[in-house]
Parts: sequence; C-alpha cells; structure tokens
Amino acid sequence: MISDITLGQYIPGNSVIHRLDPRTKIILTISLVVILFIVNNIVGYLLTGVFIALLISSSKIPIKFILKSIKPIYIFIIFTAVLNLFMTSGTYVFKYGWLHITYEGIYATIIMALRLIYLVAGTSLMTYTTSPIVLTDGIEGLLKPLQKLKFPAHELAMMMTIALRFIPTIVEETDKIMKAQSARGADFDTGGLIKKAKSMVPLLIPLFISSFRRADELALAMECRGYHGGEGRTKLRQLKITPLDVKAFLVFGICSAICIIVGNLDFIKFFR
Amino acid sequence: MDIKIENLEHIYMPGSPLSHTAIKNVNLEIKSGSFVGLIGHTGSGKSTLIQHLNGLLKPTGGKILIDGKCVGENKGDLKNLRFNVGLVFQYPEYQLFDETVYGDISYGPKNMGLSDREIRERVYESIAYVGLKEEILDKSPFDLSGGQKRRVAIAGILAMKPKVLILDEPTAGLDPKGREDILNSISRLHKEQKLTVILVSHSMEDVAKICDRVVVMSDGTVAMEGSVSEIFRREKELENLHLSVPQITKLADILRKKGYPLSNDIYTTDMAYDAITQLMRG
Repeated sequence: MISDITLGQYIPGNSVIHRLDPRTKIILTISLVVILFIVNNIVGYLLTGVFIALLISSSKIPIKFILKSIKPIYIFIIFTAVLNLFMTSGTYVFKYGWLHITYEGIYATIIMALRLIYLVAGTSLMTYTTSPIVLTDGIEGLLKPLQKLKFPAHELAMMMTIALRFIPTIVEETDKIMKAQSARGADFDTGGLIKKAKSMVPLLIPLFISSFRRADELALAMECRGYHGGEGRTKLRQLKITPLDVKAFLVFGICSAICIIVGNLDFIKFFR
Repeated sequence: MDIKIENLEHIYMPGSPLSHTAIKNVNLEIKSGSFVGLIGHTGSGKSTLIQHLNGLLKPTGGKILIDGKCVGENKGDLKNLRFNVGLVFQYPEYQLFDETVYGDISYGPKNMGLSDREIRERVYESIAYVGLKEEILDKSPFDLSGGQKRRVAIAGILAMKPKVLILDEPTAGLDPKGREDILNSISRLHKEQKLTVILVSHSMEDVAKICDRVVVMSDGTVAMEGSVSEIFRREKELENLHLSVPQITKLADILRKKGYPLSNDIYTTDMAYDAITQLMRG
C-alpha cells in the first residue's frame, strides 16, 4: 500500500528538467496549474497535452511512472466525471427519468478529466525530477522574501525536510511493530471496519510514542550540533539561476501563451 | 515441539533490483526441550531465520516443519502457531501499548480467545515468572524503568504459554542486574516448564552460561552447530566469522600457555572458579 504513493518519489537523472533550479520548477509547476484552469476549450487542452508530453519526454522519466502517479486518483476522476456527465444541463443526448446526459455534460466531463490528469502528471513530473531535499530548499528560497513579514520560511522548510526524512524510518518501524503484535496474535486484515480500527490501536500507540521519543532525541542532537534556527545559516547547496532556467522560463512562457490564446478562442467553443 | 528446517531460503524483494538473499541452505533440527543459542555477526540472517519459525516471514524456498507439520500450509494454523511459538523481538518494550501493564500482558491471551479467569491466571503467573511484583499490574507500562518494561514485554509473550520461546537479544541495552534477572528467568522457565528456547545473542558469555547447544550463522547460512563445548573449542574459526569465545575461555588459554594445567573446557566464570580452586588446593 505504502509503495503505491508515488508523490515525492524522486527518480535521479540528468535531463534538462532535472538540472533546472528547484525554484524555477516550483514556479513553472504552479503556473501550469493556473494555465490548466484558464484554458477553456478542447483544442486548448489537446495543445496543453502536447506541451506536457514534450516536457515529460524531455525529462526522460519513463511514461510508466507518470501513469503510475495518475493511478491513485482514478476514483476521483471517475467521481467528478460522473457528476459532470449527469448533472450538467443543456441539449439532451439521452434522457431517462431524472437521469440525463447532455452534450455539454460530455464536453465538461472530458475537459475535467483531462484537467485532473494533466494536473497530476505535471506536478508529479516536478517531484519525480527533484529530490525532496532540493525541493524544500527551493520552497525555502521562494518563501524567503516573506521572512521580512515574520513568516517562518526556514522553519517550514526544516519541518518538511524532517518529515520527508522520517517517512522511511516510520515505515520500517510500522513493519516492526506490526510483526511484534502479530507474534502476539494480532490480526490486522480480517474483520469489519470497527474491528479493523480497533486492531490498529496496538500498532498506532507504540508508533506515536516512538515518534515522540525520536523527535525529542532529534531536537537534542540538533541543539548539540549548535542548531538555533535559520539565522546566519549557510547552505551546502547554493541555489543558482542559470541561463538554462532563463531559457526554461522563455520556452514555458511562449508555449503557455499559445495554449491560453488557443484555449480561449471563442469560435472553438462548441457549446455555451 | 520439534523444529526441523529444510533447505530454507529467504530472498527479500525477489525479482526487483533491490533483491537480497538473507538466508539460504539452512538445515537445522531443534529438538523439543533444548536450549539453543543462536549467534552470528550483524546481518548474518539470525533475525530473518527466527521470523520464519512462527510464520511471520514466508520462505521463498525450502520448508519448516514444526512437530512434523509444514509451516504456512494453511492460514488457520498460522495463528495457532504464533501462540505456540512465542517470539520476543529486539527491544520488545517498544511494542507496549496498553494503559496498564495488566492490559498489555493480557493482549496475547485475549487474542487466543481465552476466558477472563484463564487470562487473569496467566497474567499473574507470567508476571511472577519474569520477577515483577503484582502491584505493577495497575501501573502504566510507560512509567516503568527500561528493565521492567522489557520484562513486562516478555511476560506478554509468556502469558500465551508458548511451547517454544524465541528471544532476539533480550538483554541488549540493559544494566548488568537487568541482564542477570532476565537470563535467570529464561533459564528457570526452560528448566521448569520444559520450554524449548532459542536465544539470539551477541554475548558469548551468556550463551556459554545458559545454552546447551549453539548454532553459528554466517552469511545467511549455518556455519557451525553443536554443543557449547564443541563450538567454543573452535576459537580460530569463530574469529574468522567475526565472533569470539567467552572472555574467560581466553583467560584460561593464557593461563594454560603459562603452564597452569587447566582443562580445555572452560566457558563460564563458574567453571573457571571451580577449576582454579581445584588447582590451588591440588
């Protein structure tokens, strides 16, 4: 189950996308999400799709992984698709009692599904090509200007780094405690919902306790090594905007401009 | 319960780039009522091996027969097997979870579906076995000292009345008194209840003191097997496996080389004491 989560899974590589500054990638990913909501017609979406496909191919991330990242949200896609398909009013294609499908509904369904798929594909492209540590560095870099307004940018980034760092540790710990309780006859798999939830208590309590203990030890160890917050702290990896990043911004800007313009051309709008 | 392991093999994550063979070609027979010490350097496959004995891990090759029955053949047996083969993990105190010591110890018996009276009896019995007082039963397990927590966790396994008890380094990280107490409890259980015990340990002294037989693991396979004296006589081979003989044996060696006629079979301080006093009298 745990191995199904692909978000935050970094695939090392040396492609153009891998080499971009994390701040560039974060900004461009956010822009992509915004564009996905500005584009308004099917041709625009197809164009955006081509654009995302080009990005994926230039990252050299196997398409298999991108598809894997879309997999967990298929229920969500189906849910929104069903809602859009049956709830949109307009010209009827099909009507049976209160159940109806309209042309507008089909159109909205396709657009919404594409939107969700692109959203996940685009954001997972970022996490696939950026190691979590670099990503938090990037977030810290982007939030730094807010520090003047007393926004705890460094602390936030440190928290994220620690959280990511401890995921594998906690997975391992969970496995260990599950085994230990299984040795005492615990059964985590069978039974109804309530029984299952109850059977989690002997797993969760030791897990919480050891997490608190670990946090305590980590805080102590950090203090012992002179950690006192972000002030005056230098970085091992300096973030630097290179000509590559400038090019990326330019290419992205041009492509997204095309997508937005085409995506909002009125004559392509078949309906509405 | 007789345990027979035939050609056991376990590969972690088979077929993936991270696949790793933890144990292979393990053939071992453990007779009912024996007290076996399992030694081997870190990563030699000890923990993987013991997790097979109660079906927590499934073999990727070979099989395990317990009382002639193959482990993992059907799922219903698996739960029963776990009650019969008690496994105490390393640092078992980290698995404590209940509000009271009583609740925690009764977790195993409750899973067995025993009556409240039977559970109560077992809790009192097992707490006495590990040398804790009854007052402790109402306390929270998290208020206890490290050694007490460890003993509560072991009592939690004992309360299931297993026929085979496996302990993975039960004395790791305890003070000398705590070690002594736990080892004595285990030894007493073995003698009084005819329990088959498998003790994983890094302490050659402990193994020499309380085990009858020793199994030495190295690189995922059984490197040596025999009685305590058979194994600790092979000092050179043990050292090649990053292991050693008890320190007192080394001392006896030095004394012997200096010309004192001590026997070859000295593995515990008691043995050394007897031999030396005899020599002095003699």
